Parts: sequence; C-alpha cells; structure tokens
Amino acid sequence: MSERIRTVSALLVIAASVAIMVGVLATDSAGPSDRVHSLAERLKCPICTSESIADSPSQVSRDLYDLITEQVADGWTDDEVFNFFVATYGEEALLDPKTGGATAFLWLAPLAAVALGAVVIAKRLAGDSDEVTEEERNRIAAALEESL
Amino acid sequence: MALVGYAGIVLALISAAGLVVQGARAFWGRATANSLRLPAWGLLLGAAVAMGALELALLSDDFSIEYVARNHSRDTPLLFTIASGWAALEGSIVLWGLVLAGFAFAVLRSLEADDRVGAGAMAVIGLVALFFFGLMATAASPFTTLEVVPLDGTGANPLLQNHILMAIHPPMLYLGYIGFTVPFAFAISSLVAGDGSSSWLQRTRRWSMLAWTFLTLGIVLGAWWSYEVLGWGGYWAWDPVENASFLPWLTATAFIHSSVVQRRRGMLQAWNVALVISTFALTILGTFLTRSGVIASVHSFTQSSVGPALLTFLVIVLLGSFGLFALRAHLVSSTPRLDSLASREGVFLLNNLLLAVFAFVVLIGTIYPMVLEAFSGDRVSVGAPWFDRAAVPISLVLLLAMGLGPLTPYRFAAPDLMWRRLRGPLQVASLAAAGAVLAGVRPITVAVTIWLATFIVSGIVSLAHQRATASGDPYLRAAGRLFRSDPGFWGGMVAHIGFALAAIGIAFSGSFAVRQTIAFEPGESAPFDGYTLTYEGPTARDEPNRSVVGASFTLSRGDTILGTLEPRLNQYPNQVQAIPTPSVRTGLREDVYLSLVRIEADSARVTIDAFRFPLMWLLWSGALLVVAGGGWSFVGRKRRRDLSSLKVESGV
Repeated sequence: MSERIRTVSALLVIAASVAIMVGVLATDSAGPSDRVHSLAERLKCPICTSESIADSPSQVSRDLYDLITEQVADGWTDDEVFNFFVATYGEEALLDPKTGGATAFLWLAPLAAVALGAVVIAKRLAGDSDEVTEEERNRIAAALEESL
Repeated sequence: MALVGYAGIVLALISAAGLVVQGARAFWGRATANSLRLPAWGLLLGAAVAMGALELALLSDDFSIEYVARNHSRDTPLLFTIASGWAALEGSIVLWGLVLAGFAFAVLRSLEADDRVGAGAMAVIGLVALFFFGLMATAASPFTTLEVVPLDGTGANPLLQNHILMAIHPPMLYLGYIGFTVPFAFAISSLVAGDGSSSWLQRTRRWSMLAWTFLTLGIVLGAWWSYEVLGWGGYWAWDPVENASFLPWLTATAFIHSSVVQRRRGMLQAWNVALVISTFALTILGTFLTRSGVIASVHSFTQSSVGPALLTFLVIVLLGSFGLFALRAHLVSSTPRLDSLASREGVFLLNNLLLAVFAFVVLIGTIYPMVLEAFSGDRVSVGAPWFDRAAVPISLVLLLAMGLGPLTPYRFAAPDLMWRRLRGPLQVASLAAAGAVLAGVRPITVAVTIWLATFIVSGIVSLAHQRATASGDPYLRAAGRLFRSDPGFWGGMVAHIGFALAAIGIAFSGSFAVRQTIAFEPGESAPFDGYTLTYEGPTARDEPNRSVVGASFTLSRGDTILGTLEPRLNQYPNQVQAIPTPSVRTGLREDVYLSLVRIEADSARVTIDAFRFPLMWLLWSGALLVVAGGGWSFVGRKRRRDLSSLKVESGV
C-alpha cells in the first residue's frame, strides 16, 4: 500500500467515525435529567465530612432526599431548594460553594493558576533562545575542557 | 515494656542527632561518610526496639500502657492486634520513624566515603528523624503508662477491625510518603553544596519510583477499602483525608515526568527542585491534616498533642527549603531552552502544567474551608461538584497528553512524522468511540474517555510493535527484550495503559451507576435492574470481637441463579454505630453491590441499598497495572544502574 493510499484511507476512517459520533450525539434527545438527584449531589449530608445527600447512606440523608423530592414536586426552583438548606444548615450545606462572597477566591484562584502557568511557558518559548549568555559560554568551555 | 520502648526512642533520638552532626561534618569534609554508620545503626536499632516494644505490649495485653488500653482489648484478633501498632496516632508515628530509619540505613549503604552531598542528605534525613522521634519522646509518646491499670482495653478502632485492607493501606501509604524524604534530602544537600548538576536526580531516581509506586498502591488500597467497607458504593469522595494522600501523588507524578526531561534535555532543573520540595512538604501537610484533628474542627487541633508541632514543622520545611531554593536559584537555572512546544518536552510541559494546576486546585479546595473558618469563623464546604468541575477536564487533557507523549520525538515533532505515527492510533480510537456511541453510550464525556483510552493503548501497542519488528529477531523474544531494555520507559507505558483502563472504569461506573433502596419481607423477591433479588432470610453470629447480623440474598437473572450475596452489619462493643460490610458480586459487565441499611429484629424485615456499577473491575485492574508499571521501572532499573554513564550524562 502506498503512502498516499494509507493517508487517504486513514482520513476517511477518522472522518466517518467522527461524523457518526457527531451525528448520533447531536440528534440525541436528552432524556429528562434527574433534578432531584443532581440537587442532592450538590448538598452536603449534615452529619458527614464530605459525602452528599445523594451518596450518604445515613438515615438523615435519606429523609432529606425525600424532602428534596417533595420540594421538586411542589415546583421549587433550584435556588429555592439551596436557599432552604443554607437557611437550615448554614452555608456549609453547599458542596458547590457560591461564586461570590467569601468563596469567590475558590473560583478565581484556579483560573489565575492556569493563566500564570501559560504565561510562564509562553515567556520561556519567546525568550531569545539563540543568545548564548556569559554563564552558558563558561559552562560550554568548562565542559569542553573536561572532555579533552 | 514501656521503659524498653522509651529507651528505644531515646536511642533513636540521640542517633538522629548524631546523624545530623556527623552528616554535617562529613558534608564539610571534616569526616568521612563512614562515620555515619554508627548513628544510622543506632537509629534503626532504636526505632526497631520502639516498634517491637509497642507490638509486644499489644500482644501481651499490657494495659498499663495507655496506648494499649485505648487501642486493644483481649478479644481483638491477632492480625488486628499487630495492626493496632500503627493504627492510632502515636503508633503511626513509631512506624513512620521505623520506616525512615530503614530508608536512612539503605541510603547510607549506597554512599562512598568521600560522598559529601550524600552525607549532607543523611544530615537532612537525620533532621527529619529528629523531629519525628522528638514527637514520640514528647507530645505523642506511645509509652505513657496508666496509674490505674484496667482489666481490659477498649479495643481496636472498629473501622480497622472490619477489613484487612485497613491494616495494610496505611503502611503502604507511609512507605510512599516517607520515601520522598530521600530525593528531598539529596536535593536540599545539593542546594547547600551549590551543586547545580542533575546528579541528585540521577541518584534518587529509583527512590522516587519506589516512593511513587507505594504511594499509588496506598491510594488505590484506600479507595478499594472505601468501596468494600463503607457501604455507600463510592470509592472517592474528595474527602480531606483522601486529598491529603492525593496531593503529594500529583506533585510526585509531575516530578517523575519532569525529571525525565531534565535527564534527557537538561531542562526544568529549578522546577524539579521545586517539585520535590513541594512533594515532601505535602506529605507533612497530609500527616498534619490526617493526624491533628483539624478536619473535624479547626479549633480542635490546638488541643491535639501533635497538631501545633506538625504545623510548625511544616512551616519550617517550607520556609527553610524554599528560602534556600531562592538563595541558590541561580545555580539551578536550566540552560537549554525549549525548541518548540511540538515536541516530547512540550508534552511533558503540558503534563506538568496540568498536574501542578490540579494539585493547586485540590490544595485550595482542601484547606480553604479550614483557613476561612480559622480566620472568620464561617463554615463552608467544598465538595465533589466543585472538585469534579476541575478534575474532569484536567484529567481528560492529561489522558490526551498521555496518548501523544510517547509517540512524540524530542526537540521537534515534524508534522509528517507525527501523522505517520498517529494515524493508526487515531483510526482505532475513532472507530472504538463511534462504535460505543452507536451502541448507545452516553453522555459525551464517556465517549471522549473511550476515544482517549483507546488512543493511549493503541499508540503504545503500535510503538512496541514497530520496535519489536524492527529488530528482526523472533517477535516475542524481541518484544521481551524491548521491555527489559528500558524499564523506565516501558514501565511507564504499562502504567499509562493502566490509567487508560482505569479511566474507562471510572467513566462507566460513574455515569451508569444505578442505586435503589429496596425493602424485603423474608422470602420475598424484588426486581433490580434486570436482576431478581430474593431475600432468603436473616443470618446472625457472634465473633469474639463483634456480633454480626446479615441478610442472605439470592441473585438471579431470568432462570439462572448467579449467586448468594450476604450484606452484613457488624456491631462492635466500643461503638454504637454499626459498621456495614457490603456484599459485592464482581462480573465482567458490572458489579452488583448490596449494602444492608437495617434489619428489624422481630420481623426480620430488611432494607438494603442495591447498586449496579458497570466495569468496576477495569478500574481496579487498571490501577494495579499502574502500580505494576511503577514497580517494573523500579525493579528493572536495578540491573542497569551504571554509575559511570550517569556521571557523563549529568556532567554536561
């Protein structure tokens, strides 16, 4: 098989597979998401260190899970449910902390870290790599001397 | 026995001081490294005597020692009696000291008489030992005696007694934690010596791999324990205790990758020093988080005996190491620059950036609530939804880097070369993901994970295939020789394959988990996700250390009986809350997992949580493959250690 045929057939296989994936996933009607479960996953079980109401096997969590089910059935919005839990258990109830106030730092810091890392790498890349510094010249000289 | 143990601690303490003094003298050329033998022996002997005395006290039911009275009883089974020696705070520090002493001894054996950097490293290890044996001698003494000797103790921690994994998970984690003291010590010693070369990295490469392998194993065993014992069906909750072990793992993983770049290309020298210091500091932070009670309440840690001491030590480590690093930074600034981002170094850089950001995210998510509470009194939680939002995208890009890296050449990856190497794996990955989507796999993150995992595995297989056929030897022999020829690289590839498999396991078990709470009368059957569960009846038995109630279920699909599952609740005399033991049936397709919620004593009516987790075995076997890969890069390297070639490589 020549190089060109390999390239063309590979491109065809990849393109066809991607087309299938995109086609199927795009036309897929998203099923009704389980709102109760996703709410319960974002609220802390009051007697655990970090498990959510959805995960914790404790009786308290089972009761609260039923409570959320009722609230959703009564037409409460997500915010109303969260506000209810914050009013009852304090801000500790939210496993997903608020984006504002005292927990804003938690949302900003990771973004700042990524930006910082990208800047450092970009700087290294852009640095005048052809320039040989005094120190480098000394090192090269020393290495040459050693090898002779 | 208390006196003997205490004498051991004092001997170790004196020896640690001796190690510091003699190490420093040898470092400045006033003694030879041979003079470290005596203190190293003393340290090991003292630590062994302390550990031995504690074990003997436990085995002989010596309740005059407070530690024994609080962590042991006459009914505790032998295995858990032995494990009690390191299960609670004071004992865990004794084990820490023993492992550190053993490592110090092993390091000493590799030193030559005029090895000044090595002697300096021994002094650093001595300082760390001084701290931990100092803790044992003061705040966390395991040999405190009681004036009134109780007839029996309160017994071991129920969570420990409930599963054997709890006896082996902490020592594995400790071997990993403490192992990083060695590369840290060599890095510090090199900095003090003003040695800007890579020799510390070369010399401690095997230590880093050993420590990384044990740390990985420790984390995997902890996750497995969580799955097998806690009964909530999960294996990872982003709990501060879990994060404490995951944090040094992240920086250590970055370190074992970036040190390859330094060895091959002379780059990232300063970064490697920073990583090894961070890893060591994070192991101390982990010890502080897990052992000081700070997680339960920020304000309780000042009352704990070791909290303030560990926090002070952490601050000293951070200030001392990074201060020294800043003073000597000019020595470790790397000279060769990156030619192009499209290169193996570029992918390594991406890997390091991602792992560093990952570690940073986990770090602030773990400690921010504690810091906030300490300063403002506000209590907030940071949980799985927050961590997942960062962890999922970072992990997916890491998987992509894992697939690209091994196929990318150093310096510069020409587009046509990359295309020739990548087109095969790209086709396999795309076909696999398309097939999975057609078979109904959703959501898109799972499809992407399948694509990435297949890409990684097929890339490695094609690489191995190419190299094996190129040699012209019989295929299997060529492949075997290839595997042995470069254990560092191929061990890494085995670990990568393990990660790919584990990623599929995590994606499937997370996205397609089914949970249902079902109540049964005796003899009743109920459908569960295509299976039928039949409640045969309750079981009960008394064991010496606990009473066990269970419920026996028959699992069937259609007319086929698949097996019996018996989830249990274990009641320990020293705890009101019963500890569950879920019953898991592992299959090729999925795990069926039953956890007993309650059983009514009179009517024998039971309530259970039934879970279905697809492809869980892929997660565990993938994780073990990661450990095996790490192990191979450690074991295989032994035979290839060639000091002369290392010197040449690091000298330029």
